[in-house]
Amino acid sequence: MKQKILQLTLGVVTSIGGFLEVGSIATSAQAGASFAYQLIWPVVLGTIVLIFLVEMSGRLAAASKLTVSGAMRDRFGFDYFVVPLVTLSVVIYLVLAAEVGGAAFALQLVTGISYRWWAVPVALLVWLILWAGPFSAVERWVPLVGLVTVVFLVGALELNLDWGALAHGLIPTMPSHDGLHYWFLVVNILGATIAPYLMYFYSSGAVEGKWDESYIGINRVIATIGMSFGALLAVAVLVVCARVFEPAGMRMEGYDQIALMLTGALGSWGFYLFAASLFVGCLGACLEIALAVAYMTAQGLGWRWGQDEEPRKVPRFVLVYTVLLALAPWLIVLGVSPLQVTSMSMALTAATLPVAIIPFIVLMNDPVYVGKHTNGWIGNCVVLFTIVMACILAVVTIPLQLLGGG
Amino acid sequence: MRRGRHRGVGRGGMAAVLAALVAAGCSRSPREQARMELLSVRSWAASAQMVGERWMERAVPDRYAKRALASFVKKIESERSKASAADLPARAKAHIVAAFDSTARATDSLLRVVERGDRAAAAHITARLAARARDAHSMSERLRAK
Amino acid sequence: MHLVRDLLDKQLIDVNWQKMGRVDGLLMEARPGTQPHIATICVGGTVLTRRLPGFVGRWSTAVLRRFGPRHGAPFRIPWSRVLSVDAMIRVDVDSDSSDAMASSRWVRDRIIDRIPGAS
Repeated sequence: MKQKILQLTLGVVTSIGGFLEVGSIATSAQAGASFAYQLIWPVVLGTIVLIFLVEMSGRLAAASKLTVSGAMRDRFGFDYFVVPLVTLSVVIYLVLAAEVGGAAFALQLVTGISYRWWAVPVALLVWLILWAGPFSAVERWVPLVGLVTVVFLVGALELNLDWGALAHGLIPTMPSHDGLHYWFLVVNILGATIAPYLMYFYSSGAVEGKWDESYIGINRVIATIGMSFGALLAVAVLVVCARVFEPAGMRMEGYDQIALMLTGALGSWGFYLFAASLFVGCLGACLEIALAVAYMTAQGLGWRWGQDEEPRKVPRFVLVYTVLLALAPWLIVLGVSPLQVTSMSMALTAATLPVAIIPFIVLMNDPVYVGKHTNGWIGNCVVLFTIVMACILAVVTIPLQLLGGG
Repeated sequence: MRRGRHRGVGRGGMAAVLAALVAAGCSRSPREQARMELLSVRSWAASAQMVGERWMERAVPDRYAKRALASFVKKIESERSKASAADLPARAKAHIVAAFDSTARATDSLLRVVERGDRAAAAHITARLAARARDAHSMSERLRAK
Repeated sequence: MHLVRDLLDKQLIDVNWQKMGRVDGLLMEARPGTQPHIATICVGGTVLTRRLPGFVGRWSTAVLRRFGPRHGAPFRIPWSRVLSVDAMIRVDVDSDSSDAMASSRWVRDRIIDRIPGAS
């Protein structure tokens, strides 16, 4: 039983690294600054879908001892598997570039040295942690260090909150102004929240942790608490920005504006704790993303894999994350705006969600793989509905946004 | 085969209609565009003001304030160029370009004050920026009301 | 046995219970007078790249033939060496000493070992 409670840290790690990272921070900040509390509902909707998806990946691992990627290749064959493999790898690479940008920007905040100089060192640090550290170390330290992100909750509670308006934000409403920007942010929030790489990371962690059917119960708890914690933090960011930026009419167009969010309530502590939270969140996300792509590739191609294994025993697995991290920093080094990279990567994630998720849902309803633990109809419906909606919105808003809206 | 092609056209057609609807909903009249530009002025002025105020309170370090203000100036100037080339109603355009200009100047002065470390002088400039933000906001509200 | 469902793309495990790739292709043998049956399991190499569609498939196959370990030749396992067919397929092969792990060993020797702290 103690083992299972310790596994709670897997959920929290996945959550902090996978949830409160630059995508969530940036999209929640933009949402709060531009639309006050109106956009709380996509955060909640995205989180509900994410909880379902993460719980499903854990259940798959526990029931079949297979990871998501392994089961996908198994069930659909290489000819279909290669499509999500390539699509997701490209999109996830962009997300990784955004996270590297976020961590690099946090270092700029603290040191004054341009984020473009920090991108390569950040990628190198991530690589070193993966190369030298076992999975259990990552699992143990990231949540502890990640607790610094609680500062967002503190910041939110410091303000006099209009709970009524907050509750109102839980209900989807039509935008009061600037429709294109509103729906683009909805897409971004959904893409930031429902990140497919979390499923690959979580199921691989479950298999490395040797889960069996007895874990199915605790898996639900882990998925729910872990992802909800991240959602709470994202909403806290949104609420703070709604109170601090929206009344002044400040639209968030860069991380240097977002960095001000806690400085009113918490002074200089607010500045440095924001930088620390941004850094830790992004670093955790980089670790998870790099591992997720390596898992996805190695498991899909049948190679040996495992973060706990010595690198010499799993050379191709190590090569994947090495190459990915070597390529990651260059968009940022070349000077592409970190917020733009973040925005685009979140929107593209939303647009490609059906590619990753629909086959997964088919898998989760197949008793060959999950035995008697197939999906309930509620889970299927909520996930499918949201995925399709996110994709349609993304396909419509991305070109319009690129052509100079908002 | 033919059925498949029909279905393809159907889906593509729907997407095109959807896009057109959204675009129609989002395409802007010159007046609406002018209002957006004024809101942009307000946003930048308020941002520079907030950086200045936090710097005076010592809530943010010098190096951050300098970088942030310098990047604001660049962005304000680029938006000013876009606005002066945009299709806006003539009188509004003159106001908007002037508003961008004075905001850029104020932000630049604030940057130099921060570089000198002169907190006393900063209060005056943040007040100017606050005024720029208020003016831009009320101008934008008037455009909406009409 | 349903070939595609039960064999193709399944994980292969060697005699020491180690992973050694997936069933990327199957070679059938058909002799007059007998039922067609599986002769060989093919792993890796150009078997996989040829399954990719169109230009991508042709190009990657060509690249693998020029530069790949053993010039893209797939590793072949005769059907007689299959020990069990289950969620994974266990075969009577010691992958560490066989060509199945050739590309893995190549990556290990040429890249991983060159990085400090590899062991």
